[in-house]
Amino acid sequence: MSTERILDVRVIPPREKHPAIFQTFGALAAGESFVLVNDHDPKPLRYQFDYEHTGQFGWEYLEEGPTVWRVEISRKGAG
Amino acid sequence: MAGGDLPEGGRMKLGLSSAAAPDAGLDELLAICARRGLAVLDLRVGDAHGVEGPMYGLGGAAAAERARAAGVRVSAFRSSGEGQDLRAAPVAAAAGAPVLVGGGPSLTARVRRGHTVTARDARAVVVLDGEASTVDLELVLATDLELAWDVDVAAGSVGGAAERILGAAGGRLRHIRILGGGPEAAMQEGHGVGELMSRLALAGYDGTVILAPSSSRYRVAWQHWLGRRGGWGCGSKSADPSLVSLEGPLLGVGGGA
Repeated sequence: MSTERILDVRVIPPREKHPAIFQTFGALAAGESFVLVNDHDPKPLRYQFDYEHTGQFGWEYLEEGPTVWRVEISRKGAG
Repeated sequence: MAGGDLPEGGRMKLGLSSAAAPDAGLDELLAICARRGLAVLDLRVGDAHGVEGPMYGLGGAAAAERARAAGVRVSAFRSSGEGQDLRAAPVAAAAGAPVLVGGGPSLTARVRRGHTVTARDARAVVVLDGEASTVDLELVLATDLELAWDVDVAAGSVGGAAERILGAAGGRLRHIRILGGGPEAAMQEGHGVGELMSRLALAGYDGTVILAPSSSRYRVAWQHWLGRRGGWGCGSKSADPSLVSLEGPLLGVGGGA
């Protein structure tokens, strides 16, 4: 198995996407990350992360369309 | 680019089954993948992609090269019977892709067919259906063959099966096909697809996840989703005034003159 975790939400029913993303994030240890793959810019998700996990996550765009968006979401270490 | 910049391994790759457009040629399938941002293509033996065939066919090496040029990888050739195994083996070997051995009367028969494929210098992957019992899993894991899993989302929740199969198969599981992905996804709420994808991510799964129709009932929905069929639109672009003429005598409504 690889070291890169990919969560491709394009196949997930719309109302399950954010729960799946936050469940995945919740299972990460400090310093770990996963790459979110989506078919649009997940800006609303970023706002939800900002609100619910303020200061606890990293967000880095790896690919920004026009067909696929890939964002590395990481869990920051304590302190 | 449909993932053409991705390395061959190390990342989970989302792809399309030719079953989603069984009448499409290879070039159209590749164009669809590019349009939908899908990195891999699963070719079902007998579909109209034109890659394999008893008398003609593009051949595995040429198909793989054409796919690479389009930024897509041919991930597998899917066979549902012994005759198809024999057709697929040389083509798949030339393409550098495995034969997915499905169909037939039993899993034991699939394992036997898998060994027939490997004897022809091709890679064989045995397909587990749906819930796949522990006995089924152990039967395949006792061999040296890889595993594929057909996830039938419409049949029920797949979350529990995902945990069990991923846990038992580990790195031997390299191909997952979701029956009911694509345009059907919106109808699959509560069936565990979110849990499945989350578990795959956390397990570091780096194989393929293939989208395929669950039934021919959704053919029209898939055609739209793949961009193969648009609506009628208003038709102004191809309008032909000669088709409608009101130059003759007009009759008043109610027959009054």
